[in-house]
This record gives sequence, structure tokens and C-alpha cells, in this order.
Amino acid sequence: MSEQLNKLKEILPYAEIYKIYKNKYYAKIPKDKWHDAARRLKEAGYVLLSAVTAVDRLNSMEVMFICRRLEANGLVIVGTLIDRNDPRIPSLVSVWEGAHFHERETFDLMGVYFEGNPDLRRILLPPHWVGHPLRKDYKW
Amino acid sequence: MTEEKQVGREVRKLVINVGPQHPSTHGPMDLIVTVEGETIVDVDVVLGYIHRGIEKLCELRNYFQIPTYLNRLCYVSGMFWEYGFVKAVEEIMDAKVPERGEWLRVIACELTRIASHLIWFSAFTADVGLMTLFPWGLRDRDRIIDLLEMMSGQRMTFGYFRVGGVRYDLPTNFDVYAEKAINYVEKHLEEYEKVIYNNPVFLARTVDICPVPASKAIDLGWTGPMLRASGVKRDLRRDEPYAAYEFLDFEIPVGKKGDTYDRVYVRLEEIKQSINIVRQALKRIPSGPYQTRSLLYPPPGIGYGWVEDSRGECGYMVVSDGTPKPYRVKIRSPAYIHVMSIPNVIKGSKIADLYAILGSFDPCLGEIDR
Repeated sequence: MSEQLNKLKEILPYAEIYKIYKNKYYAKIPKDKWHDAARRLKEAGYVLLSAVTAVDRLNSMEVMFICRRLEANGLVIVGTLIDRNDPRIPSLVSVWEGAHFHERETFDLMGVYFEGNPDLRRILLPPHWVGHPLRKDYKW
Repeated sequence: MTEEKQVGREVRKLVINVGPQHPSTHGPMDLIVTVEGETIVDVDVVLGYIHRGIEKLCELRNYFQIPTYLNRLCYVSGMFWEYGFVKAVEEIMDAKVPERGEWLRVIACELTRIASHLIWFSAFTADVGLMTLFPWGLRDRDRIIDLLEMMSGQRMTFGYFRVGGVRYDLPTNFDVYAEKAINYVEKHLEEYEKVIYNNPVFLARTVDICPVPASKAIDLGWTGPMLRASGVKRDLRRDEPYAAYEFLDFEIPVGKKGDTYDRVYVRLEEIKQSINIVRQALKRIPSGPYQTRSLLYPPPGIGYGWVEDSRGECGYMVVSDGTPKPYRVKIRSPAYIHVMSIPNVIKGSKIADLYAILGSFDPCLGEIDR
């Protein structure tokens, strides 16, 4: 299994990688490498995108994408911390067409702006809704 | 209904609302379809009519209360949705499940897969005009639901999976009842095949309708039967063996072109494989404990649990901070991705085929809207 870890280190030299379970890894990357990491992973065979999501860490916002390879098992969660009050991150639509749906959902529920997404609208909540309910300070 | 006339040529664009209350959307979902003549030029998918905020609810409940909410996510395949969460929590805890528990999980999952595919099959055949098959499918599904009721005590919202095992052991003589019900379904599967595969109406409605090449399906993030219909042999049960799947012998059916016909074919073949798996599992299930006492709640950490749902990859990302309640639960719904990618694949199809295409995507609004 360390073989996969070494390979991941090769693909993402700037990342801090640790194992979460068996063949599942978490890679922490700097904010400006977000798009570059996605592109490099896809070129290295991590072609299936499972999700793009975010976790509200109260003093910052942790944005993540989860991707995996087609022929082998295991996955990698790539995460980065961004400013919670102005959460902006480049969109991954140019890498994976399917990232669009996840980004719309994350924008709706978490309020993260994906710059470059062609159609960033609310999807699960009605268009006139105020606030982003999955944030920890949301009052309901 | 709004109309828009273009100057010069007589090209009329029509906007049609399919839904939110429409028998062919299988739930409250709105498709705003723009057509030019009979050809679809654009679709906008409007979701969220039954958004219940389950991800937020999970943050407010402890780890034992949560599976009760999750089996309501998809009301036709509740077992998988409990399993995904339980698996994520077990990964954070590094909990061991007794052998019998793992085999019981396989039986529960595969029976649910049969039931889920049968109800999809009934609804889909009604969509393409074969109304006879609708009650046939429901009749067979009922026998499988009876088995699930014997296992878990519930017919729909099971509450069967627990961290560290399952809730109940098999009732006495379960294998006799199961064999009977499975034989009943298997006998009728042959009938279905005779009815649909030689039926000119069915073939006209499905063959070469909305083909999706493998590269496109991968790029959109499709999983499960939808990806396999496009010819990609990817199944988490084989690629990432969990529970007792590594000891079982089964095939993975794949399609050729990824059209609507292939999506039907793959799912019908999967019912057969599931029947095969249940038979093997009932024969080989070991005796012993079926649950363990586990920790009350996991240590701080992050876990991603995935299972092969009847629709694709059902994934849960659970972030724990060491308290009795999870910090964040992300639900990855396969049907959400399939339905949202309708605008990317449907352009150029005819409006009359919309219902067949949508039906073959197997939408389940409970899991899409969460």
C-alpha cells in the first residue's frame, strides 16, 4: 500500500499526505495548487470524480474533492483551507465535466464560490433562500 | 408554456415543463425542456422539492440515531444507505465486524438490490408503454420485501445495520423461505425477457436511444449500472471488496453502446447475479456472533465509506471530532449525478423519448434531494 502513497507523493509533490484507512489517503495542498492538483491527478489516472464538497472549520472553510482510479481500488481526498468570509476557489469544470453538479450543491449549502463555473445557481434550495444551511453558524 | 418566434425562418422554440407532478419523473422533479419541433435543445433540471436537510440533521444527532434517518434517503433501497454510513464510521473506528455479520450484510444488500431493480423495471416498462409488466414487477418485488421484513422487521425503512454488525440474526428456516421466493422471481425473470426482448415496441423505444460513450460517462462521474451499460467493467463489489464479496463468485454484466437498451439489459442481468449471490451466501454463511459491542462514538478523524448501491456508488464522508455527534456528513448520491447530467447527454433526442431516457436513469428523488 505504501506503493500508492509514493506514487501520490510523486503526483503531488507539494502536498502533505496521510493515510486515513487502508488504501484511502488525504492530501492537504496549498490553496493556489487546487486546480493544478486536480489536473495532475486526472492525468495520472484518477479519472473518476466522486465528490466536491466543503467542511466548515469555523475559522476557515475546508474545500475538498474526492477522486479515484478506474482500474485499481483506493481513493484520495484532496483538501485545502480557504478564507471563510470570502470563500472563493477555482472551478474544476475544465478538468471534470461532472464537477459542475457538485459545485452547485456546495455553493447552495455551504456558500463556496467556484470561480469559472458556467452556471452557479442554487439547486436544492429555492432561489430566494437566504443563507447557507450547512454552515455551523446558520440560524434556523 | 411560452413561445418564441424567430424572424426569417419558421423555427419555433417551445418551453415545456415536465413536472413537478408528473407520472414519469418518479417523484417531484421538474424538467424545463426547450424543444425545437420535436428535438430537445435544452433541459434545465429543477430539484429540491423534497429536500429535508438530512446532512444537517446528521450533525444534530448521535451515531446511533443517524441510520434511522438515512434509510429514508432512498425508500426503495434503504439497506445500502444505512450500510454506507455504518461503513464510514467503522473505518474511523477501525472496528471489526464478525464474520456472520458480514455475510448477513451481503444477503440484506443483494435482496435489496433485487427489490430495487424490480421496482425500477416495473416503472420503466410502464414508461415505454408496456403496462402489463408493471403489476408483474411489483408482485415479484413483494416476495423479496417479505424476506427483508423477516430479516429486519420492517418492509421499507429497515434500521438493520449497526456499527459493528447487524441488528438481528436470521429467523429460523429463513433459507427455505428465501429459496422459495428467489425461485419465484427467477421463474418470472424468464417471462420478462420473453416479453421485452422480442417486443418491437420495446425495441423501438430503447435501441439506440441516447447512447452515452464510456469516456463521457467517466467524465460526468457516472457509477453503477449506468457506467457499466457504457461498457466500463467497474463494480465496487469486485474492485474494492467489502463485507464477504471477495469469497463470492459472480459476474459483472456490461453493455456495449450505453443506450437505453443496454441500461435495461445490465440491470436485468444484475438481478440474476444477485439471485446467484444470495443462493451462495445462504449456503456458505458461517455460524457465530453477528454483532459486536463497539465504541460509543469514533475518535477524531475522517472516513469515506462507499458501497455499490443499486444505482451506483453510495458514498458517505464522515468527519468526526471525537464528540458523540458527527462534525459533518457528506452524502454522495449517485442518482443526483445521473439526473443532473441529463442536459449534458440528452441534446438532440426527441421529446417522445424523454420519458424512456429519464426512466432508464433510475431516479430516486429521496436520495437526489436528500
